[in-house]
Amino acid sequence: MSRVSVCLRSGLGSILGSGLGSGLGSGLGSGLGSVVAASVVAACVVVAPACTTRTAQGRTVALDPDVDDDLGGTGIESGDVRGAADRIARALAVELKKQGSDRAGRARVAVVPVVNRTRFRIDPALVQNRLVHDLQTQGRGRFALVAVRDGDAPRDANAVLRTELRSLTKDNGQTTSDYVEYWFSLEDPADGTVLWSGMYETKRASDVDVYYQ
Amino acid sequence: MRIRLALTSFVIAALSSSCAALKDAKLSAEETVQPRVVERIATIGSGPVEIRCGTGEVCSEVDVVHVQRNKDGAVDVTLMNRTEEEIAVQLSVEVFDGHARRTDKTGFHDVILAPRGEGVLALVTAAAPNDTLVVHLRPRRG
Repeated sequence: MSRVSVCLRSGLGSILGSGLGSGLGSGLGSGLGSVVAASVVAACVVVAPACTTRTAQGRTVALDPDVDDDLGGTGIESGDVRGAADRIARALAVELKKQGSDRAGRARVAVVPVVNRTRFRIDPALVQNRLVHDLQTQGRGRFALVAVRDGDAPRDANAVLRTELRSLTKDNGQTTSDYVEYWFSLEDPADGTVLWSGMYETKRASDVDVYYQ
Repeated sequence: MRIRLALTSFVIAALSSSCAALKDAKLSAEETVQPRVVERIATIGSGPVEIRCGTGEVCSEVDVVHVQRNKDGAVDVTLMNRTEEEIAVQLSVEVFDGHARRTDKTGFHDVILAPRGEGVLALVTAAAPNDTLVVHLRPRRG
């Protein structure tokens, strides 16, 4: 429905609703209907802009982090960081709740720094922090987490969560595509046995080159 | 005479059409054309499932074919693209217990659907067997 017809309908509706419509209708006659309609439209054009709610969205626009920012690019988006962490934490929490081996009968998991082998320069701690946060939320104290900033996993950890980001890039001079793979593996620190594994993947193509920094 | 009548009706329309009334009528008309949709669908597993679309267009173009629920809270949502175009949507699942309290909410996850194709999004939730699942669908922007 066009804006004009909506406006016309609302304008006429409010005139009729105010009780003036019947008086006007009889007074003006049917031949002047078009004049009235045109003036209602004109009134709408004048009044409607003032009816837009003013928000804090000026030149800087606040966005939902799960929504794309329209800047283009084929790499790692905020929605990917959040989506990957949310999905993996939910699945892994179920697995970890089954285990339990520290003094309180809980699994003790070391979340080691994320290895980023993609061509995109992002802060790997974005993924690690989000993962720790979501795991902690999902675990509700049923397992213990240690966020390792650098160095090796603590000796008392009975599981290590490793995360690797890798990508495959194609470019034909005009369009670039990137397949990005996020691999999460829960390993036994004693021998590296993979106890659980999760994957999150994206593939995007674009003719807009964007810097990630 | 005509000009005076036009001016009179213009002033009356402007005065009687308050901002709220104008906006309300405009939004009502838009919602008539593009309504919010809430559907209840059959599931595999127990418990009710609602599908909510901010705009009816998403629900008309993308069908939630079925929702499979497992006892451990795992939920598989199968979507089908009814159009001849590739569609990207975002999906989130909310969980409500028997007292209508929200016990869990996932983030929005991308699902890309090939033309006339199907896709499955698997999520683990805190849903108990008889909890109500609410699936939110929205178009992926960008």
